Amino acid sequence: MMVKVFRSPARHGYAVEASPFIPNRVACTASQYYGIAGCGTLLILDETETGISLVRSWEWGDGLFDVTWSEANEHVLVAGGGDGSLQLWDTANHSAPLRVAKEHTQEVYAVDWSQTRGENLIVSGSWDQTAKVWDPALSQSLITLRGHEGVIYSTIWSPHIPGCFASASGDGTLRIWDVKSAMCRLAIPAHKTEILSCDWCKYDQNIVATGSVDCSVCVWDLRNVRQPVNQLLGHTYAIRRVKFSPFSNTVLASCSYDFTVRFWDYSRNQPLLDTVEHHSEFVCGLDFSLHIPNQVVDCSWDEMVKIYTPACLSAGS
Amino acid sequence: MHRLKLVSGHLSSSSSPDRRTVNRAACKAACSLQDVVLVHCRRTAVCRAKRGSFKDTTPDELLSAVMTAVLTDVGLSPDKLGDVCVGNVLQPGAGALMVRVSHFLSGFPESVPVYTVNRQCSSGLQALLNIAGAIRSGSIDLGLACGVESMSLQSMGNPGDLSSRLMDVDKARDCIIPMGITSENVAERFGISREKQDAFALSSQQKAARAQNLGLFDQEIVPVTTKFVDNEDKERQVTVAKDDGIRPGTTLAGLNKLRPAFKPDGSTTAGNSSQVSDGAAAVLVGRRSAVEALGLPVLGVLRGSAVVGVPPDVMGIGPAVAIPAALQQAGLTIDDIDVFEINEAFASQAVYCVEKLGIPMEKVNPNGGAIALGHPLGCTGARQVVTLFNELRRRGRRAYGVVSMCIGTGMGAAAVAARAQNLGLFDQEIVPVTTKFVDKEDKERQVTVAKDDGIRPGTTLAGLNKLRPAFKPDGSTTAGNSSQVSDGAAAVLVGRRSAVEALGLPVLGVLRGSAVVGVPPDVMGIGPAVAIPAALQQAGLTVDDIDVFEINEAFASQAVYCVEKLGIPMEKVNPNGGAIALGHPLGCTGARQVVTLFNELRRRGRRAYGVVSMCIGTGMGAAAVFEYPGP
Repeated sequence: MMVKVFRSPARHGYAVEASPFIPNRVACTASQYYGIAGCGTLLILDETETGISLVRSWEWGDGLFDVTWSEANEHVLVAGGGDGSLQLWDTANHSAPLRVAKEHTQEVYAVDWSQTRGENLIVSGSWDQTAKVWDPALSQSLITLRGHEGVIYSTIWSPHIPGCFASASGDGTLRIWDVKSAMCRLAIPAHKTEILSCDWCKYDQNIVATGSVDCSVCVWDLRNVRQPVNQLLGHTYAIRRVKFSPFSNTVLASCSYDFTVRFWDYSRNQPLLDTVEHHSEFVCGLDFSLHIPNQVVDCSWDEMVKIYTPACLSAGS
Repeated sequence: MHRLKLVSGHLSSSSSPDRRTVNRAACKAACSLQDVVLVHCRRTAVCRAKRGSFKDTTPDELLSAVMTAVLTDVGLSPDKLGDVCVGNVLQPGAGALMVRVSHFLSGFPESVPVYTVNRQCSSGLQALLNIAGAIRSGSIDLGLACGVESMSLQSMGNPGDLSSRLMDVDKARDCIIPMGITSENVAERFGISREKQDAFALSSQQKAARAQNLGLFDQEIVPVTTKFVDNEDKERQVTVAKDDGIRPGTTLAGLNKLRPAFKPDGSTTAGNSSQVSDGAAAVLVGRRSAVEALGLPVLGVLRGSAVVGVPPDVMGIGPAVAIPAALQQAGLTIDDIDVFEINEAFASQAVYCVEKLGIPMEKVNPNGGAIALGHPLGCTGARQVVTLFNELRRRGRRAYGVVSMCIGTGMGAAAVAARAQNLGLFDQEIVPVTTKFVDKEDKERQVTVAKDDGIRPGTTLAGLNKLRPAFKPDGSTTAGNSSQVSDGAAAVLVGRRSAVEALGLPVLGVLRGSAVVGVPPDVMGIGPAVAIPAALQQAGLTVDDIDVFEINEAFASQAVYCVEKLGIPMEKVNPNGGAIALGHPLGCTGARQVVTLFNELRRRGRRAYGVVSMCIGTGMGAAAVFEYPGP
């Protein structure tokens, strides 16, 4: 397995996202002092033939915990920070964010740009227990959604249903929201412990995965939430992020405090496909490339961003 | 802190199905009490053999200088050492007699044992690995690893007594190939051109010259006062504190002109080979638990090591095999390493190893290597450890380093060490502040500040003595013995115990008594001498009951007066320094003292009492007595 590596000295990785426009480009947010104190950095990285090169980076006065690319403009992205702000960045030329929106009263831990046609919205999830939906200029929040009784760690738009996003929270629930009616459509007590991440299947509008402090990934069919479709066991510490593959309908990846990234096929009896152990600290950021089938990027508190294609996925292709 | 608490929650409430793996990860992340840690290390200058400053100095004297300096620096009595191991190559029997003599010259007690080790060019590193092995096996808790060589007084050459059958076995015969020829073999077989070798040699000289100019070696070198017989055969006393092999004027043209030294059409020259030198180095090593129990600092942690065999006729490739083996043991890759100290026996083999392993050249010997500094055989491995850790320390963060070298007769050795993650006792108590800073060029930058900047580690008594009185011509109060003018803030969360416990908050300490008193305004500095007894009385305690006194050092004069007046043992006063070193941001100081006090008491790890006190302008004194209930 060929692994390309980028090191961000004294910056500990929190999130990575592959560009939807430029095949070899990723954005990464990393924070000083493990995100507990100090600054954050937003990095734009390009995969080259020999490694990973830094295209641009910006410093922010507080930790940065999540990042999302615009679905409308290849140069634009949004990051969420420890100071409760969302910042709109432009890779083209600016040294400072185009816009800073500070409405959340605590850490913003999740930002996501909607992918459904005819819609161009940003959702943010915060430790202030609210999720906010924003227009693409971040001028002001369009709506604030309350209901979670714990911090929100993850907010992700449905790739199929307009105006619909999922959120995962420290209160142990996965919630499905409808922005038009400003309502929580479903509240699923998905785990007995905190849920740190969720993601939608790209091929089936009813499938959502959750990753929890209980070390399990659960795959849910929203039409019947009494029990999960599958429970994926193997991680030995809390799961920090889950992501569905954009190329295979039943494949997903998860990264964890146990220093590993694991790949799963939830339709199988033996769902674990592979365990990648190439970090020496908590792995917090994870994404699939949208252009290169089965290519993965991850980042960890060990200062490393790694791009690779796991053997279990490359074998069949 | 909210973020820390939440993230910790993710870890602690894991209901893991496999505790074994969890423990492995937890062990990996935590620092183990069984770790072999480096405490402190020093070296002598490295000087040219037969011409340099140590040409008339015996190796026992060089060794004694570093052994003594390492223990004196950290205030450790030699009787705490479980063993002493010294790398040496050229003395008869690897200097077994010489090191015991050195041991007594250093004032070490007879009860402490010492031995030598000879693994040729790696002897100094092997000494460290031997001591580490003894610590791991539980035989000793603490040991001193050294290396020493006088190439002025003993020369290479006598091969000892060998069987004539050695000519019948190829590999055995290869063992007596001169080192220079093994360098030619590496250059020829792996295509390392003369140009590459000379360029590498030039860069070694330039890096060493730069390091010397910037004073980067000053901290690591122990000055040695010794005799020196000059050109006119007159014996003089000299103090040697500078490497004398470095040639700042080296040019590529000059190097290109040198004749091959070992064979007529060869590429190895005197300019791209290591120098023949004298020197010594010592490293204090211990088990983390023992080191912490003795209150010694942790400089670094040994993470892995390997010694491997390679063909004797290309012995120089040793590091290319040993480094990956040591890294594998440490669970690290080349990319994880910040600094490689690879001994430059010859530029040919050093370049080969660096290229073979794909190490970025800027990570290799950042302060030059044996081509510029010299290669006192038995000393080199220990010298590299010293130089490595001083470099890692300057980088000021957790970092990994590798020390490696080739070994005549065909071997390679390597060790991987990490600079300790948390050297700073203040690191836990200081909140990093990200703020703007307008620099000298009037440019505004964003900086994150997490370090006190008033501390002057280079302070000497002589320097302080020279300062003029600051307030009256015949006075004794100077800028150096008064508190500094500073900026800062501190905060302490306080509550009634019942409320604190109801909220599930931890109890760090308990306020036991306090007093504010009045004293004559013209000698306001005596305030603590009156306030402390009053506060102690309220707490029902005496001076003897108190473990740590944080007495604000407005001026050394008043602080000394109060300490003497109350009969407080000096080692209990401001164990981490006071306002003279740290500064005295007026409104902040009292709270800052409480923060520093509790962090110190917490480190002591048991129930303890502390006092915070200060004098107050216009004639008052304040004091408070705290109890730390233990962990």
